[in-house]
Amino acid sequence: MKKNSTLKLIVLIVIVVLIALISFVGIYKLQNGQMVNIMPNYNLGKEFSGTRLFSFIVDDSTKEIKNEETETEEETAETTTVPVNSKEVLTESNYQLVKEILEKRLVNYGIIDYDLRVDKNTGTIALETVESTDLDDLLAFFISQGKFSILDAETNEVLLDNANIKEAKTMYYTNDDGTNVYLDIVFDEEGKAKLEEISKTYVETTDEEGNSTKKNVTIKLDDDTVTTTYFGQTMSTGELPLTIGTATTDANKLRDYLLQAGQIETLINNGMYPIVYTTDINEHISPIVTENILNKIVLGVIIVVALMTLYLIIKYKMSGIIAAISIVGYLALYLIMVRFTDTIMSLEAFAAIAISVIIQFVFVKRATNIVKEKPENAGKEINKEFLKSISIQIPLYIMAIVFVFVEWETIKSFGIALFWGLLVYLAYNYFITKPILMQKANIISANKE
Amino acid sequence: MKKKLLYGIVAIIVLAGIIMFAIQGFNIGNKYGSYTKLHFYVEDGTVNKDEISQIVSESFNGKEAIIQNVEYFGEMVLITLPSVADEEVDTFLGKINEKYSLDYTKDDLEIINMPSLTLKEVVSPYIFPVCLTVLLALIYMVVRYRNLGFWKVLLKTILAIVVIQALIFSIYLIFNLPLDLSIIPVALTGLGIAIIYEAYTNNKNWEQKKKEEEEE
Repeated sequence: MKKNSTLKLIVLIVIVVLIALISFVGIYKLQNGQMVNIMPNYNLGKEFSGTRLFSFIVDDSTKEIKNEETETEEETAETTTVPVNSKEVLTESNYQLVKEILEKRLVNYGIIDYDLRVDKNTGTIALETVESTDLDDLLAFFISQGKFSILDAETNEVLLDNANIKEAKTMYYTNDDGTNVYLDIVFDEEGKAKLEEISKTYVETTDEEGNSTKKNVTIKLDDDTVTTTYFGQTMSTGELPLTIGTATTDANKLRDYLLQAGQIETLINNGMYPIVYTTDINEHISPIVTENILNKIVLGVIIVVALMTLYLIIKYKMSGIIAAISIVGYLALYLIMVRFTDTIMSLEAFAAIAISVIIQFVFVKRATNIVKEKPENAGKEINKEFLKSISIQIPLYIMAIVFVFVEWETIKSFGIALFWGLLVYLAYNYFITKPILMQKANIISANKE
Repeated sequence: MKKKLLYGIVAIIVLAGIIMFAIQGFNIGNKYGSYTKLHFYVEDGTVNKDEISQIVSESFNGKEAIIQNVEYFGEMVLITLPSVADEEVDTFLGKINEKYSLDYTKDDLEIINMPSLTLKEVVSPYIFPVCLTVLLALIYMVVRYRNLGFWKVLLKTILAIVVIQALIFSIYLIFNLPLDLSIIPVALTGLGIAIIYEAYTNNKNWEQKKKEEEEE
């Protein structure tokens, strides 16, 4: 009995040591002549990985507009130079509105942690967010005014614009040619009537001699032309489908089209900036938590865990050593889980790890106490203690699950880290801590006999 | 006795926190407070953060400053300070021009001045998840430990959460620690600890009561 328990105990300790080695040292493989750790890296939060700082300023440039009264056949059209942003639009409420619209766009573009501020005197906007390569592609959408317009291709008369748009939707359908991704612009009642009228006017006509004439519209997003076309049929549903692209078998292309359509959809649905902005600063900022500070945090964690294990060893001697090994194993497995699950290692995630380690310590301490006090009944008692600890932790499960679904990085990373901490707690203690301490209890009981 | 002593210490800390709040208020760090960001660029990549830190400290009267590298070439640093006065920027310009033999003006520093975040902006992302968590935790507690008394469990749990948060903020106030990067992780840890502590206490009392009832 004793021999059997000792063997099982050794096997379990070896497993824990292996877990610790994998977690803290890594798994190395020879790649291109170099030993490379194949364990995934930690997904570091913005405090550790750096941020992107943008500054958007009110566009103070000018543009030339045609003077309507001079546009006759005899007179050449004259132009007047006017500011891109008139003085009337440069108000505090408009600056605030731009900030609110940008906030909605950021959320839609999946940016879940940012510091966004506006200077109400100058309208300058400062945006600091987690560094990502996607930001370069999204920058155009951050400063885009979001102005959608359908114009007469010849006269540039605005026929329809944002004022009549109810919503934009990304849609797709599949036919023999492949999958067609399009943006469906849905207009309100007034827009529906206007669109129907436009679709009857801007068509291809053929005279008696067979000469065809096309009357085109230009569809613009801000000042960029999306397409110049004419209508082949009357648009009576109040919906205008704009083709973004067609992909046959290329899944990446299809994903890009869907992404592109989604980005324009976000622009249109969240409203239009009343002011035109331009980018002033776009730069990568190094992490606020430097390597030196990070080392201090890690050292702090090591000291706390060392104190915990020391306490257990002093209080419970041999059983304490096993308990200490168990705590280190828990932390190791937890960190492996964190690496494999894309948990963002922010300061909040560190807080969740701290909570998880504390509850693990409390359980291991109580279980070790059982081994010391009632070794002959340890299996049943540890099981009871384990189930009790789970029932106590249910509010923490609630906290973790609620936080996981929040689209704000500080909360989300805390929630995800806590969730994995609790899950590892369940699995690790059931499969490792409980058997380890039970084997130790068996050995103590055998020694007593 | 031990409990009374603990409660007494907590009460003194919270009271001291309230007094400090009345006297000086919170020390709002750069993360939430108004800030000035200055860019400092030296073409030949000789920006030394320690030197800059010294100049910043002298120019801005020891104001708390964060100095971070910009991009990857070591040619530029971003200095984030609480809002600074024009005269302080002038002093800074004078010192860096002298130190690095430059002829920079304010325009070369690409200064960004931003107001502080409002309380609503700071707390709004946390209100819903924290309230929902507390609400669900309270429901669980009052149902699970109903034989301890609905109001007793409810009020004790709320009190534990409030006291721990008050304790955290009091410590920040007493030591004049800036409300910065650390406050959210600390407050969330406090919330987690308060909830688990109260669940543990309730469970202990519940077991005790169950034992007493069985004995009777």
